[in-house]
Amino acid sequence: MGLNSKGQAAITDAMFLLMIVTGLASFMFLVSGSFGVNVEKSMKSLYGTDYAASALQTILYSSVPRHPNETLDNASEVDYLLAMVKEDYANNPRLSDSTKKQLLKTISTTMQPLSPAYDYLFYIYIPPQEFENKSWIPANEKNSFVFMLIYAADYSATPPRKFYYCNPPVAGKIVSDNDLDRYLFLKLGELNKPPRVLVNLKKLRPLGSNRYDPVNLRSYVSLVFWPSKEFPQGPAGENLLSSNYLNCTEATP
Amino acid sequence: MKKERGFIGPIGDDLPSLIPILFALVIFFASFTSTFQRLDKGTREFSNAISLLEISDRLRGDRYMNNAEEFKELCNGITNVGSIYYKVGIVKLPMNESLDIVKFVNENQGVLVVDGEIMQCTNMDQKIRTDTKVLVRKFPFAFQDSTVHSGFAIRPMLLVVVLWD
Repeated sequence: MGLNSKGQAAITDAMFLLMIVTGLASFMFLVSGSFGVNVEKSMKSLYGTDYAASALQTILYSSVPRHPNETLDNASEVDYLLAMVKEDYANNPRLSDSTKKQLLKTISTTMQPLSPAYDYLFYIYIPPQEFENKSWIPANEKNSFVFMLIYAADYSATPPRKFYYCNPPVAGKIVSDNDLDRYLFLKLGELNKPPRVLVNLKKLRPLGSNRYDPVNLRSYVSLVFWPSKEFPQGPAGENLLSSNYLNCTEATP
Repeated sequence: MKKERGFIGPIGDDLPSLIPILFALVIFFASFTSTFQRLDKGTREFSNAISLLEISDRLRGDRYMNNAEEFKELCNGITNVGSIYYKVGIVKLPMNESLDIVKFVNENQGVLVVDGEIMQCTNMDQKIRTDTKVLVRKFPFAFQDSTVHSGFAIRPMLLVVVLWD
């Protein structure tokens, strides 16, 4: 009887060993399967942010032809895009159509490698506090969003992805970049958003007798892109591109 | 001699327990080998990704290139890449067609030509196949072009870095 029990004890020990080894092997497979997944995700995310930062700097460094009908190759005179924007904004309540067109051309060219799979938003923003104590600027010109360009998807339209110039109204629902976060960015999910670039715009303060004093307005340029998806809607299902929110019109490059 | 039922012998009684032990050993060594191979593959992929990052960062610099000579100098500074192969090129924007990486590496598709010189550098002259596993990084940067009519213009270009082993 005792000898039979020894044989059974040996098999039981062996079964326990098998169970322990199977458990450890499963654990090893689990660990090896998830090896490097988080690092790979971080690297992809960093690449996206890096691309956006490079694109932003490239756009701001770029030259444009002085005359809108010329191209860079055949233009007799070229200017820095940023200089053109600063000059236009200093002299006019809003950026002119030709400046906006140059911005659109440069941005769409720089973002062309990503545009098959990504949508993006480029904007020049003056924080509202910059307009404080500047009563000489008319109220309807105190618009924080100097320029905004969106490349967005609407899969019910043809073509499904288009460019839009946007001009959020001064008394509308989107008046600051916090509003952009709330109404738009939080709904887009995965975003590539590099640090904003500080740019000094100027407005000419009239001193009378045809004299003007250039006053600095600290502003930021930002570029954000995301994997292409249907453009999000407002809190009650409204169209964010409509006049109550971003007030966008279609643009053609 | 009195024979007891079910009793084979001192060793014979332990023979059946060898079967689960053998299974356990096979499972252990199989999972160990598989895990080791996966970790080794993952480590190699990370090493390649790091090399790609280093080459990209060196070439991208401050995202502004004054001329073709600066690109050549940056290319000459790529050293210590180990056993990997790379190809770097400047692609003119906007591109007329989407960039085919195999054609870019093998035929210099879309690569900028300045004064008859193709703006590319590589440490491997052989062609890659369509099933070659490559890592790619692309960055826009500002390139100072002195071949335009006005004599000077800064235009967006795309720096493409391709790496394989």
